[in-house]
Amino acid sequence: MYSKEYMKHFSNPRNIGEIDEADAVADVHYTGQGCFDKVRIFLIRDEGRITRVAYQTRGCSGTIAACSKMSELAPGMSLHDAAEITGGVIAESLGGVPEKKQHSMDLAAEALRTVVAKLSEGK
Amino acid sequence: MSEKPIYFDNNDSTAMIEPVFAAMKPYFMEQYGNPASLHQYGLDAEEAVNDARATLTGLIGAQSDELLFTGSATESNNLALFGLTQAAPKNKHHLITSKVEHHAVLNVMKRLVKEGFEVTFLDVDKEGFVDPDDLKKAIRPETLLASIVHGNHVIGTIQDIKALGEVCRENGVLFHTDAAQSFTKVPIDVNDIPVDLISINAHKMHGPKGVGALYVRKGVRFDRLMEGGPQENNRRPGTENVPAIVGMEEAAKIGCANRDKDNAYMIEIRDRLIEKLLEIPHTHLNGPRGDKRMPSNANITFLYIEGEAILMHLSMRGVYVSSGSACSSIALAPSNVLTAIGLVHEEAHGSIRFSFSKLNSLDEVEPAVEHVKQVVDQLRAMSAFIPAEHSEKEGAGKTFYKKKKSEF
Repeated sequence: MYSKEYMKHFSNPRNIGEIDEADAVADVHYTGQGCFDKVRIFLIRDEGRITRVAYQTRGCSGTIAACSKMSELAPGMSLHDAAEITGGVIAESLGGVPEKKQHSMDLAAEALRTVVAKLSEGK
Repeated sequence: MSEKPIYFDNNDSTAMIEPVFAAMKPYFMEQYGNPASLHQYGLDAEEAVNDARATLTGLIGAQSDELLFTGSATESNNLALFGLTQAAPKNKHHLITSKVEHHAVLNVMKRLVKEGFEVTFLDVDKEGFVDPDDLKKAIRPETLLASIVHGNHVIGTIQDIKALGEVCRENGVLFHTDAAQSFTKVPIDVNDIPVDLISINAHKMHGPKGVGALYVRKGVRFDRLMEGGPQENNRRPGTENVPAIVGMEEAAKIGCANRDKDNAYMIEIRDRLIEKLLEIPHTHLNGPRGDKRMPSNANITFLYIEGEAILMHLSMRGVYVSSGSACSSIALAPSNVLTAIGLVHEEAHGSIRFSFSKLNSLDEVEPAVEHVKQVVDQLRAMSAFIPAEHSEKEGAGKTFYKKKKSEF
């Protein structure tokens, strides 16, 4: 049902934790029906490019796997490109996910967009 | 991973036991006749089905023509509720149920609302009990029926169906109960309990999947839902699943004969597990304690983490449970039972059901608890959403990356 990549990131998530001196921090939670998963995301940039993303979450396997994958995809990207990462991109990078887990992919993408937006706003 | 898998999901389904399988076997390849056929093979199959019917009705004190076989307890619930409402006089357009029903009742009721019936969904207390006084107050002259689950599938609450049935009987209201979880574990005698319809199945009691039954008290007006042959006294067409029906009979016989012994055994496992799991900080038990709880059920909330993630980690370790989390369901909805007893969504999402059978062992409790503790620690360490006053461990919610910006 779940891909090897999904299970790898869920069981051994990358970049979990907080960054004391992050350039931006954002909290997001899933606002759709039923699911109340939450993500706190930390971001560091250097000269317009993301150098590090970390996160903490109270989330299901999908949210954990999606955040882990997202935290690997974003470093090296410009802020603009990072904000373009969608839930679909994360799902594809995880080798595809069942429909019921797409909301987790979207949540991880939203977390990244939100923290990038904060940075752009100079917060 | 555990050396041997620990299956604590018996409220979802149980393993079939050898005597049940042995009883079924001849009906696949030797006595495979259709019970409706007139030759000897057919007569043998018909006899097997009728023997099973007599056995099952005997176990609940009913007459042998008061039970029909179905494909599942879900079908039995559908048949009961749609069958009664279709046969009801026009002025009987009000139905009563509770907020802690299985979807096989709840969703039928929701559809009946769309079809023009009025439905009262009764509240429950924090342990999941329906108050018979609330039922009484909900009854109106136009009330046709009440349907209240016997043993709850999520939190194990055993309703006082005698008191609830008496309220219905005194007020001329039909009473149906979904006994899918409780059958064989909690005795039902229809001569003592004023219940008019009972849904049961086989696979929660070490029988096969794909078979259920519906007790319908003699004299209750009831319409069939499907058209076809005259099987099951003209109320449920379709060739009977003879091997499964024979398996259901055997499972029920064994279950009822060993009820006290099996219940005592499961209760020991249940109570030990509950005691050990509640030693984990920020946990609570959902549902009642003691003899008003199903022997097979424990349900614990682990605050600040998500149940589906707990379930998945436990599964990777060979411990099989289920969760009330929305993320466990395709509909992304938390368990209606957990929200009905007053849990906020975050609590419902962090809830895990552990459910037992006589095939479990007390020796499984300690390793299961150890796995749960490790998984809970691991997931809480990832969570940023633990209130500071509940974060008794240094580093809870803030592990792994403590590096300053300059270190990257």
